Formats: sequence, structure tokens, C-alpha cells
Amino acid sequence: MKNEPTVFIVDDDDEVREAIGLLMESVGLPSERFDSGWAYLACFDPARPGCLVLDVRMRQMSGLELQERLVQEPIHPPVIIITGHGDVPMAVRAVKNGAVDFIEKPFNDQALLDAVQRAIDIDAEQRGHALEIANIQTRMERLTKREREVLDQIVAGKRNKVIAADLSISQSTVEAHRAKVMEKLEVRSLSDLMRAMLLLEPSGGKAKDGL
Amino acid sequence: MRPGAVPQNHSQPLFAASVRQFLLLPLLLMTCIAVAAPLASDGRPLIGVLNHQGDAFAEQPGTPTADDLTQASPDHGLPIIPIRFDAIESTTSAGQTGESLNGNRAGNRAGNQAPFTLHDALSRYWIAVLTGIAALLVLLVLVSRVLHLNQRLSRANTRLERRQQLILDSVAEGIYGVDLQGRATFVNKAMERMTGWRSEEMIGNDEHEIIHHTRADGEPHSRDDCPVYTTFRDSQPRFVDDDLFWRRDGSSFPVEYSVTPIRDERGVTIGSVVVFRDITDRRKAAERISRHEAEQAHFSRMSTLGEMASGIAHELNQPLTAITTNARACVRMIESDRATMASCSNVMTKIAEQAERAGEVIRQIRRFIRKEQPEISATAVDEIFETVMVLLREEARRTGVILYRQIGLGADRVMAQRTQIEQVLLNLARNAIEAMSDQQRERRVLLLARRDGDKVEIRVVDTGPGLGKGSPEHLFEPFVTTKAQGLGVGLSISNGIVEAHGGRLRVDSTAGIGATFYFSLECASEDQDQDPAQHQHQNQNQAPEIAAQQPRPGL
Repeated sequence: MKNEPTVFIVDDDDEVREAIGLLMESVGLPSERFDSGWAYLACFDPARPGCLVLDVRMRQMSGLELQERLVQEPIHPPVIIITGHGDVPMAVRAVKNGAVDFIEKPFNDQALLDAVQRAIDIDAEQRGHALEIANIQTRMERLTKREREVLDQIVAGKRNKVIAADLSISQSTVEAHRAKVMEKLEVRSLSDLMRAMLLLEPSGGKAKDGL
Repeated sequence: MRPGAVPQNHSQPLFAASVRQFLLLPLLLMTCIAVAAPLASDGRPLIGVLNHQGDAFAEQPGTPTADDLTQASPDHGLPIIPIRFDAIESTTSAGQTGESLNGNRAGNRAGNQAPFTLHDALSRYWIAVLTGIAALLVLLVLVSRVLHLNQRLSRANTRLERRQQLILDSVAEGIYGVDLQGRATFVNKAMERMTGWRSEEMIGNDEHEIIHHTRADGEPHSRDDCPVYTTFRDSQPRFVDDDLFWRRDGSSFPVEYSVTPIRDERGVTIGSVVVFRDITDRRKAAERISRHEAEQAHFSRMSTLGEMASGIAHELNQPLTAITTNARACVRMIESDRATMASCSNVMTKIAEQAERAGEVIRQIRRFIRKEQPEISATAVDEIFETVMVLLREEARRTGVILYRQIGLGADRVMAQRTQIEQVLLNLARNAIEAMSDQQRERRVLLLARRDGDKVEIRVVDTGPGLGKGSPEHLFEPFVTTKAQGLGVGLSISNGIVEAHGGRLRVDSTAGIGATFYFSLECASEDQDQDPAQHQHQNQNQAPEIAAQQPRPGL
């Protein structure tokens, strides 16, 4: 249940909210419904996968305001904006903040479902990245100080001989360390190692944008 | 015009009285003379002259000599008499004939005495003769005087009558009088002109049957209900502001008229006089104004709705979105075989409800922009509030304002032109919402109706910043606005509508707490439900009562 992607619907119009929920149900997507941005924030759990279907016009906090708040979080479900009468500035604002889609009411059900599917995929991808990064970081913890130094040198693209000279250790010691690093980081090849390190390099900041 | 000034009947006795007075005077004089003359001829020695004369007759019973006469003449001042006396003397000297001529008078006196002559008579009765002549002269003078006065009086009378007719004819209002049988006694030119009947055709005939026989609704107008006839029955002046008179050609025209009883000099009512005015033009002007006002209100409603269009579109969009989404979801569930009969019928019910919701919005809009005759009828306050809330829901939602309504006990039905009052409330509530758009405090608008005596007070209360400085009266003037993009006609039109309902739009405001706009409407009682005609009828009945209490000055 926890890992099943959920569609979070935030709309203060009961009928529209229930209707969207029913639509999600009809394609077998679990949904949770909130009548205001505050209600959603109160239940917000970054760990839960899924996507957010957000109405722009709401009494207390508009959809765009909620979206702007969520952007501050390190991880959050992708947002689909629905609106009664959207205009260009509204759409621009939504997309700048990383909205997956901007749909006008009344909408085509397929369009919404497509957008929801895309958002869930993006979320999964985001969550995949995040998981990988987290895994690599955990593995990095296992490295000794010397192994870390060796890793840095490897990532910098230096040969074993150069590393040995730089660290004033023997070339075979470097090779032993290198094997240990590969083992601890659970990578099989140098290219795998490089990819993992690249993923780690911007400290996941790129992943947050989702696109 | 006082009843006394009204025609012939009244001037006639007046005239007769003055003639009598003039005739009485000479008669009296003559009576006096008739009494006084014999007294004087009795020979009572009243004055010196008479005394002396009596003596002369006693001393000289014989024929008076010429000397006597000449002596007497200066005394009595009758110089022409001697000639006549000579003649008398000669006849007496002629013998017995003189005696017979003088008749018994001479015989009555002593046999040898001289006969009693004309001279004697004159000298004895001259006062009576003189008085008689004087009386005749006076009588003559008086008679000619009376004749003269009589002539003048009749001329004055004619002139008066002419002037009266002139005045009557120069008045633009139609004027006519009726006697106690309801027959016309006089009519003026204006009436002839307005009705097309000639005065000869009307005078002496039943006026009610000629010009007042049928009501506006085609029902025959009974004589017993005719205010003109009622007036001479109860002697109460009255004013009727809405009635109908008929022309000779069978057409009718709207009139207002005042009826005043005519009283004779003893104060007894002998008829009534009617002054009426053709109010076709005024009626038309009033209709034009009310049409103009209705158009203005309609225009204002259209423009209000135009401003609210996006909100209303959203209000329609919501149920439409729900409908399509629900329908599609249902189809998907059926296609994927996940649908049950129960879930399907549940969804279908929802769809129907949502379509009804959309339909209700549209119905409210159509009713709101419909051009209606401003007809005041019993209306449920709840329905008025509902329309306002439906039309404003989206706008309130967008601006984060919560709308409330509250209807007090006995305040659920009012006499109102529904659309117009909705327009007023919509205007006021929108102003309130707009006023609160920037504030951090709670934003609330309350529509409140509460009973206040025989009225219902409607209030629009907000929790906004209150009104700015400046007198609130100016708010209701046209083109006064505090908004950057406002025209300043909203409140002025609202006030106009409230005034047309017999109320006044008022405002209370406390800075930082909020503002309250309020007005009163007539409460609709149970028997007025769905029956505007009855209400109008009541109004009509009230009019003469008021007029009876305050008769128009100058009538």
C-alpha cells in the first residue's frame, strides 16, 4: 500500500473532487481527496509515491500557492494543475514551478489520465534516482578515509601509477584499495563507478526538477 | 370657487331683496305723510302762522277784502292768488249760484257768512298739499332711482354671469356641476372640448351615464359607487387620482378629479361640482420614466452580469466538469467490467444532480437578466437570497469570502419586485466582497432579513474596512465612486430601486469593523400571497380616504 502510487486530488468543489476520484478508481488508481491545500499539507508525506491533481481556484490557498510551497520540499509528487479558465500567466507560473501538465476544465478524461500516468512515471523515476543516490551515499559511508582518497583520484581520471605516486603508496596498494572501493560501492566496472559518482555529484539537485 | 358664487339660483334672491328694500322706503315715507297731513289740516294751532290765520277767519267772517288779501299775501307768500280770488268774488256776488257752487261747506257755516273758497282751502290745507306734492316728487325720484338700480343690478348680474362663464371657460380643467338627481347643471368649455359632448347635450341629463358609465376594466360603473354622487350624499369633498371618463366618440381618457359639494346659503347641499383634468400626458410621462428606469436597471443588471461572467462561467464549469468526468469514469468502469449496478446508478444520480445544479445557475441568470415589468408582489426572501448567493458563489470563492444568510422570524415574505431587489443585494454584496479583497482579517458577508414592525429590514453586513471619510449620503448619488474602475452608478441605481419600493437605502459603517447597508420592504401578509392585484386594489381604495382628510386648497 505504501509503495503504490496514489493520486492526491485537491479541489474544494466536492462534486468535481469526487468525480476525479471516481475516474481514477475506474482505471484502478488509488486516490486520496482533500478539500483544501492546508488539508493536503497536513497529511503530506514525502515518502508516498504518486502525483497531485490540483485545482487553481480554491478558497483559502490557491493551487499555485500550494505548488510553490511543495517546491520548497526536497521531494514531492509531481503536480498536475486543473483550472476552470486558465490564462497564459497562470500556465507559465505553473510550468516554471515544474507542473507536469496544465489542464482546463471541463477536461477530456483521457488527457487527465495520460497526464496522471506521466506524472506517476516521473515520480517513480524521481524516486528511483533518489533511491539510487541514497544507496550510493550509504555505500560511500563504508569507505575508509584512504579508500575515499583513492576514489577521488580515480574519479579525477588518474592512473594507478600516478595515484600511487601522489599518495606515496605502492601501486599494488592502490590496486587493492581500488578493488575494495569497487566492492564496497557494489559496482562492477569503472563506467558503473563513474555513473554512480556523476549521480552523486550535483547532490541530487537536478533530480528535484523532475524534467 | 365657493358654492355661493355658483350661478343664477343664488344671485336671484339677492336681487329680489334689494328691490324690496328700495320699494319699502318710499312706501314708508308715504305712510308717514298720509298720517301727518290730516293732523295738520285739523287746524290745531301748532304754529304761529296758523294761529294768526285762524284769528283772521274769526274776526272777519265775511268776504276777505283785497286788502286782507294783499295783507295776507306777503304773510303767506302767495302772490298769484288775488287774480283767482277776483273770479271767486264775482261768482259769489252773482247770487245764490255762488252758494250752490260752494256747496254745503258754505251752507254749513253761518248762513250769512261768505262761502268757503279755494283760497280758504288752500290757506287752510296748504301744508297738506305741499307735503302731498313733495311726497309725490320723492316717490317719483325714488321710483326712477329704483328702476335705475334695478337696471344696474340686472346688468351687473349679467356681467357676473358672463364673467363666471368666462372664468369657467378659460380654465384648462373640465368643470361641471350636478344637482341632487345627478343631472348636469352647468359645464365649461374645457369639458366640452375634452369629452366631445356639447353643453346643451349634457345640461339637464344624467352626467354619470354620459361620461362615467364604465370602469377601466370594462365593468359597468354603478351610480351608487360614483364619487361625484357620493359627494352630494355625504357632503364630503374628495379627490380621485385615478379614474376614467368617456368621450362622445366612445373612447376614454384617464382623469383625476376633485368633487366638492355645492351648498346653498343655508348650508344645505344642493349638488356637487367636479373639477377634472385629463392626465393622459402625465400618465404617459410617468410610464416613460418608469420604462426608462426599468431599462436603466436592466442595463445595470446586464453590465453587472458581464462583470461577473467569468465567475459565472466557472460556476457552470464545475458541474459540467463533474458530469463529464463522472460519465467517463462510469463508462470506463463498465468497459473494464468493474462496475456494479449499484455504483453505476449512484454515478448516474450524481450526474443528474450536477446537471440540475448547472441548470439552476442558468435559470437564475436568465431570470436575473429578463426584462420585467416592475410589478411588486409577495416574494420569498429565501429565494432572493438564493439567487444572490448562486450568482456570487464563485466570486466569493475566488476572493476567499464566506457568504452567510439569515432570515428572522416573520421576515420570510416581502412585497418586492424580485429581480430588482436581487439586483440591489447583488450590488451591495459585490461591493462588500470587493472592499474586503485586500484584507487579512476574516472576510464575511451576511445577508440578513429581520422583522421590524410591519416591515422587513434587509441588511448586507460585511467585515470589511468600513467606508472611507466623507458623508455617506453622497454614496447614493450617481457617478460617485470610490473604486478605480467604478462608474458610480451601482449604489445610485440600487437606491432608486429601493425608493421605488417605498424605502430608503441607508448605511452604517465603523472603520476597521465593517459596513452595513440596509433598507426596509413591506412585509407580505398571508392573504397577499400570490395576489398582486389585490394589493393594487387596496392602494386605490386608500387614495380617496387621504384626499377626504385633506381637501385640496382652493376648492
